[in-house]
Amino acid sequence: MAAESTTTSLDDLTHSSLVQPVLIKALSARARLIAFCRQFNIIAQATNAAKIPVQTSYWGSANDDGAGVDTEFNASEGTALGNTQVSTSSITCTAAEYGVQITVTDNVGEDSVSGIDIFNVIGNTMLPVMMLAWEDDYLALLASLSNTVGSSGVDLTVANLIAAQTGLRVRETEADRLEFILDNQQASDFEGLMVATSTSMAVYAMAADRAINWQPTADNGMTNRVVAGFRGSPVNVTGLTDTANAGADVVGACICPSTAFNDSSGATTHAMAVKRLPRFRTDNSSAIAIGGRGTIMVLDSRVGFAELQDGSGTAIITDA
Amino acid sequence: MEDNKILALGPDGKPCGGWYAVNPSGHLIAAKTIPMRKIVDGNVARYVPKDGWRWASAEDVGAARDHASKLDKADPPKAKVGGPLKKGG
Repeated sequence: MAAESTTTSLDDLTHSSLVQPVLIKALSARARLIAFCRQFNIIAQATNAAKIPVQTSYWGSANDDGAGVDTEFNASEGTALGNTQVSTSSITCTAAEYGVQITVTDNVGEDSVSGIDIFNVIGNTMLPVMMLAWEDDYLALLASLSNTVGSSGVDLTVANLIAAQTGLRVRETEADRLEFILDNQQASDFEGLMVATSTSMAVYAMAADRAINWQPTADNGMTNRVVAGFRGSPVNVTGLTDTANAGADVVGACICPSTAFNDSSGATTHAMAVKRLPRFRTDNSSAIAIGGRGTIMVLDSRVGFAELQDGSGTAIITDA
Repeated sequence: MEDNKILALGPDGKPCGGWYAVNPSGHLIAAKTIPMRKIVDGNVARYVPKDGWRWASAEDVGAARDHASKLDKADPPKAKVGGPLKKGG
């Protein structure tokens, strides 16, 4: 046959493609770990920074074999006691400003597929994006922990993770909850270790297994990035951690999140000061918006992060 | 050194919001501040960096970059897998 009527001959009547009323989301990290910070509300206070007093020990330091108390507080009958000066230190948690602005022309709203509320699609993405910026700034603090485990250029080991946790205990951290935060590479290293073969085996293999107590979660972190429990503490995985040593390594950590117990014992590792909660505003009636025939959407906030307790966290710095 | 802080770069080569610092374990990290401790001498208080902390010098950054470069050569980046025809893997 010849002279059929086709989509080519009738291309003015047929669609070559038609936009479907869906939007496939981009794959992206989500902010979850900022919830580990102890929050300080400075909204409506005349400052952009929270000053948080910190107790200074006059009775020695952790694991010092009693050096600060072995004779310092001995008393003798009839002999006057000397004063002990008490001092404090402080942490300043300064709120930084975050903001996302998107301007959508009226034409986009008029010409977009009716099944998609284009303004909602765009607006609803702004909050997760801004919180991701918060999370990135929070995770940058992990590298500032003074105590570290791991060696540059060397993959994460089981011993590293154990040492990260036991370090907290040695430094007299009293915590009812710990959290491991690992870079994706570190988690991959560890999951690889868990299936590695060897010709040698621990003498007390069953005890070693209990000591490690690696308990993968039901979905291995596919929904919430908590891949497992390690020695009873959740192991969180993220791709937002910083690098160290000019990109040779990544920085994870074992920290104490904010809980009632951890806040009370001074164990909580990080703080978050909230000065302005996320605020979403739209403008389609100002001179600028009208002149541009568009709608301006702005989401902004003011928050800050700081390290509260240096000794209650251990940075885990291992090969990237 | 406080005035000569070196802006830290992120993986994209752009400033990542901090400066290079050296931590007590000798790692080069990016930080906005370095941990300080308060020293009280009578009625005078002053803050000094915690033991082992300091802002990085250009030599520190150079040494870390050399180290990272050597590691890259000795240990190619992970997860580069592919077939026999893949180039540059």
